[in-house]
Amino acid sequence: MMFPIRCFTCGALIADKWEEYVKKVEMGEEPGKVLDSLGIKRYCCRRMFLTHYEYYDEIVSFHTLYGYKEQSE
Amino acid sequence: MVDLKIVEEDEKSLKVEIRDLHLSIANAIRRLAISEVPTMAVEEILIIENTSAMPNEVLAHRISLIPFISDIDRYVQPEECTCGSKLGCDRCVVRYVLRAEAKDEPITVYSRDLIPEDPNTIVKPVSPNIPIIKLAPKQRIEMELYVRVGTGKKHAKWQASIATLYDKDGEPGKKILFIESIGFLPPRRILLEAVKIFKKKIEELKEKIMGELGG
Repeated sequence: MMFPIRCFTCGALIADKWEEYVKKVEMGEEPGKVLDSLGIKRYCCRRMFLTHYEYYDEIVSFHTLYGYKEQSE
Repeated sequence: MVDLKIVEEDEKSLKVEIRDLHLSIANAIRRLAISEVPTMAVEEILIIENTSAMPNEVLAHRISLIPFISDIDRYVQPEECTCGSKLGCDRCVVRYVLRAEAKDEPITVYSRDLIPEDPNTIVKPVSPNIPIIKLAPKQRIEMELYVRVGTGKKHAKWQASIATLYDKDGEPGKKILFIESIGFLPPRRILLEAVKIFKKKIEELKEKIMGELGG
C-alpha cells in the first residue's frame, strides 16, 4: 500500500516527509542521516520509513498499462 | 510549592520541568494532553466516485488521518452542538471537496488538493505535502469531506499530541513533561487545554461529592 500518513506507534504525522526522504535516498544519501535531517527522532517513526516498500506504485503501473481499456471504448 | 519551568520550546514541541507535583496529577495532565484535547479531522466522507485501485474504506481511512489546523474556539464537538442536525451546522462542521482525475499520466493527489467550501477558513491540512492517493490514467476520485471536532479518546486520528513524563536524572522531585504536537494546535495550547480539562473534571467531582454528602 502507500506510505502511512501517521506512525503506527506514536501517531505522529510522517507522510508529509516521505517524498523528500525518497528523493534524498535516491540521490545516494544515507537513510539514517536523511531521517536526522528531517527531524524524525523516535525509532518508531524511523522504522516506518526504513522498512516501507511502495507496493502501490506497482499497482499504478499495472493500471497504467492494462487498466481501463474496455471503459474507454 | 509546585514549580514549573519551560526548558525547551519550539513551534512543534514543549519541554517543561515540574517540581513538587505528585506523579498521579502530572500523569493525569499528560494523558489528557494525548486523549482529551479537542482537535479537528475528517469524520465523514461522501464518496461520489472512486475508480482508483484503492478501496473506498482504505482511502477514507487515509484521509481521516490527515491532521487539520484546529479552530477549537469556534467549532464544538457534534454532541455538544445545539443544531442537533446529523449534517452539522457552521459551528460543528467544515466541508471540503476532493476532486482529482489523471489524464494521460499517473498523478499523485496531495492534501493541498483538498478544496474548502469556505475559502477563508483557517481549518486546513497541517501540511500541504501529504500524499493521499496515486491515480493511474483515466482514474477519477470525487468526494465530499466533513471535518469535525473530536478527541483522541474517541478515535486516535484526533490524538492531539505525543506526551511523555519522566523523572529528571539525578534530581529527585523533578519531573520532565514533554509534549510534541502533531500539528493540530500549538504545544502551549495543548498543555493549557489539558490543564483546563483537568480543572473541569475536578470541579465536576467536587460538585458530585458536595451533592452526595449534602455540602
